[in-house]
Amino acid sequence: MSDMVAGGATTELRRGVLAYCVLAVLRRGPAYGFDLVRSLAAHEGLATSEGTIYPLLNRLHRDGLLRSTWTPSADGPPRRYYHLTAAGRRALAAFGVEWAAFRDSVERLLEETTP
Amino acid sequence: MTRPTDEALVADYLARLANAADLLPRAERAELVEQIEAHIRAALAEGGSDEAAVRDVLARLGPPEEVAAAAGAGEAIPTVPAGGPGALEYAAVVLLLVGVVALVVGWVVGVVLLWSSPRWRWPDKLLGTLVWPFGLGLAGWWGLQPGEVCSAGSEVERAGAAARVVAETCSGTPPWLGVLGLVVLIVPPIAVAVHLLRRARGHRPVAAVVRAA
Repeated sequence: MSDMVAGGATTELRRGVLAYCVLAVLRRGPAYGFDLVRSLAAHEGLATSEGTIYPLLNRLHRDGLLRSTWTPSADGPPRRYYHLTAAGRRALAAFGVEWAAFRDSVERLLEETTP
Repeated sequence: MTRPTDEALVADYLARLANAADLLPRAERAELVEQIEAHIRAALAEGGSDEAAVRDVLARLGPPEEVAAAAGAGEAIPTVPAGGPGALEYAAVVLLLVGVVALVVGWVVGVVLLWSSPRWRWPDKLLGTLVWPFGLGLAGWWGLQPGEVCSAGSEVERAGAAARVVAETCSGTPPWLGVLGLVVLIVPPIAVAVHLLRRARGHRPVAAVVRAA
């Protein structure tokens, strides 16, 4: 039971943070779905199920944090590229500050309480 | 992606995804299925395309149910409140079925209750309204029609006219058509009523599915 709770907490945490990881990948430049997903998956523990990135992309798109364009592909159907918007950039910057403080606090607490 | 077994694996995955995402708005569901399909095609174009590669791509995507649930999480998906159907829901279903006997107004009240209940989503509400309007009232009205015609026929018979006249009088509505008409008018509203009660019971707790993801 405690394992399930811990797993659920990690899932919740990952889900919240993953949106910003998507924005972070796009800070390097536009990417199409598959490319983006594999970039995230290259970082261990970020995305356990690659498919769940797409609903996240769509949510960020609806929220105006990214936009998408269709670009013809040399070897197949047109690809949908995702770009960071100005709002996405701002959200990512704000998260960066908050995350650093949050991470430091958690680390300090874990260190202090380690026997 | 040339072997039919691989195509079948992909088609099966996409079908499961579409099925699991049936609570999403139609456009969102179509978009998600399209994205996942594009992902699979891109992955297979890049890596190998033998059966092991297909299975690997699908495994990395995760269970389609999980993908669909992720699309539902954080959305304003109407959730079915806990507990079973209340007085409002039962009243709505009963009035939809037989409310018409109360000068049609009863059915209208049933429709209002149907649309005001949080236990049904709009497709169910539409179904309850349109199949059939006035519930069993239509069946009752239909049931009266052939009876009148044939009773007129029996009067003719009693008056000593030929049996041919009776046949002609009743041939306008052969018995099988009457029965068919009654079945078509009676079965759907009852089926819809049963469906509405099942839905109201909340046998598909959306919120629980989303939380489990």
